[in-house]
Amino acid sequence: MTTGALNQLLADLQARRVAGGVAGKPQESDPRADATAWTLLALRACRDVQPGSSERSALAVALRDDLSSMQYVDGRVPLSPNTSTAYWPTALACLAWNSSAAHREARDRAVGFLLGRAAGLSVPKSPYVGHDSTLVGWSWIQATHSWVEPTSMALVALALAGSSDHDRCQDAERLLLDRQLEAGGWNYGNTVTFGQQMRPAPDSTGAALTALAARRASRTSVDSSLDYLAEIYPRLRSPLSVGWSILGLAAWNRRPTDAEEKITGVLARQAVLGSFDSTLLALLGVAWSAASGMEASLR
Amino acid sequence: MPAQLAAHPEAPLPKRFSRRQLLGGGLGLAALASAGCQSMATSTFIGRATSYDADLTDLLRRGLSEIGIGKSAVSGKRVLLKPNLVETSLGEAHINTHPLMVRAAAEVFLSLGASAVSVGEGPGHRRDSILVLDESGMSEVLEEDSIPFVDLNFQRGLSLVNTGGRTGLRDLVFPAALADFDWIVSMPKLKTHHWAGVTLAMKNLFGVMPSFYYGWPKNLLHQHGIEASILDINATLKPQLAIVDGIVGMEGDGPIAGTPRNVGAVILGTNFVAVDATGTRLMGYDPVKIDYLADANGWLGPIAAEEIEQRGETVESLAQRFELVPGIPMFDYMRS
Repeated sequence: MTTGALNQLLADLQARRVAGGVAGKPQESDPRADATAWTLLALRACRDVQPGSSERSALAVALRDDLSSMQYVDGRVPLSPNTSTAYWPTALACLAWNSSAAHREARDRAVGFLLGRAAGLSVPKSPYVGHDSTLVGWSWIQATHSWVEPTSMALVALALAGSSDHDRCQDAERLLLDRQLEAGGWNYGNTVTFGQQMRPAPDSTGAALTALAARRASRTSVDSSLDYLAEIYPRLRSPLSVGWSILGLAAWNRRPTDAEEKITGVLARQAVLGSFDSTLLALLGVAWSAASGMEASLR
Repeated sequence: MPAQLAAHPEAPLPKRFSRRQLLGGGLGLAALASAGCQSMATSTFIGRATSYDADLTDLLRRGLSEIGIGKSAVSGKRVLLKPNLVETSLGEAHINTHPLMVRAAAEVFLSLGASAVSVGEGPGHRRDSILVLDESGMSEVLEEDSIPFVDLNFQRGLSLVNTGGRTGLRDLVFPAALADFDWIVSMPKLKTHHWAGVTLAMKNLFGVMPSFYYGWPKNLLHQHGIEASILDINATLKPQLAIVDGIVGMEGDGPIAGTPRNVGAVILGTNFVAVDATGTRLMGYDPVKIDYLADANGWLGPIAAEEIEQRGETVESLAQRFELVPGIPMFDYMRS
């Protein structure tokens, strides 16, 4: 398999560099924290890809600084400067800084924020929903409920930062296992509503599996979700689902053998659908290079 | 009866969001603010179509004409079609707005002189909008007809003063991309909704709110109350037109887990309150029992049948009694 598609993906991400970070789309001029962090994750995961690795290393140094400039004093990294409550990119920034000794202080402040103020809202149990809404993980937005994807990303970030033993991480692992659907898989975080089982989603499932692999959870606790993901994977064609499915399966040593070919096909859809968001491109870059899952590729 | 919403996992709490501001860019606020002009004209058209194989373009063209929309109104307009795409639904066509309805709408607007037609959605339950397009059959239509898709979840925000005042949020953040359009056309599915009672043209606009700023599934809005959010979004955005896909609707535990119900109706109108009141009646229920409609009555539009100028088919000729799952407080209230 040629790496031409991967090189193009990396070149596309590099071309979206704007003053202060990475934009979400070509022609956009405003940097976004999540796009900047995801680009850094792709650059890290693809650090050995030739040619261009030295240029990309230099870009990574600059982007980590850009990301630092987006950080608030309390450690949070909001989506954009004026949206302090949309702090969900903090875990991504933490991951993006993890491999840089020069950004240890920024990372540690982000860790402090995640383990401190960034707690999802605990809500009294409701007879109408299936999950234990008293469990606390992480939310997308300040002072709202905990959901699967922000919780998963925070767990991966904290594992890489060496904070896995913290009580918050143990609670969050319980939350993820509680939100796992009876037949396998996860969605955004609702298992049962008014007695009806909700449907799983490949992207949420891949993210949760990635987090639980980083937590060294037992394989038996996730077997049904791995089976769900492996079964649905062949029919997927969208960047978010394909990227997270590959990462989720790879984290448990079940990386699909056609991963690179699949990603190449997904990237080709941009000719019809238009350019993918930078976060989606970067996710596919990480999935391409992360043979053993996201956590291993970022160490 | 908003008290029941206390049971929602993200129950209302009094909290303010960000200040009025453009979030991360320099687009003119006036463009969006002036684009909207929620009509108080109450003409509501009901068309009959027994299946999606019917001539939907002809039906929509007739419907638009009946409510006073022709070439002069549409010519040169940039139109955003906002279908209801809430879930992946391979083989379950009753969950989402049917792709052929979207295709027909695009064709009609272009034939009436629209300068551009796009489709936009920001699914609440799904981050992967492209997967929802793929599995709902919408991708195929958009690709065949070269209709651009705008993922409204992944958009830079544009903050507008909340003119509804029901949630307590001072500002609402909309996708900046909305300012690229002159008309926003809400294209919901005719469905029951276990929290709001029904989901029609007004609730469908939850999907324009970017999850970037509200979370998945639009956490901040749920937390401030579904009905209150419906009213604030509609009062602030002032959308132009509603086209309800009621050819096959959803009864039972909507908006996702219900079952298909053949109704054979398409509703058009420029006043969303009148449209939603008509849709509720087609499902066999009294709009007075739908809290957001009761609140909107006389403010954003009328719900009394005698105040809605009905065109096309009569409500009585197509109305059915949708099944409602027992044990769901909102449905118990609607039946009472």
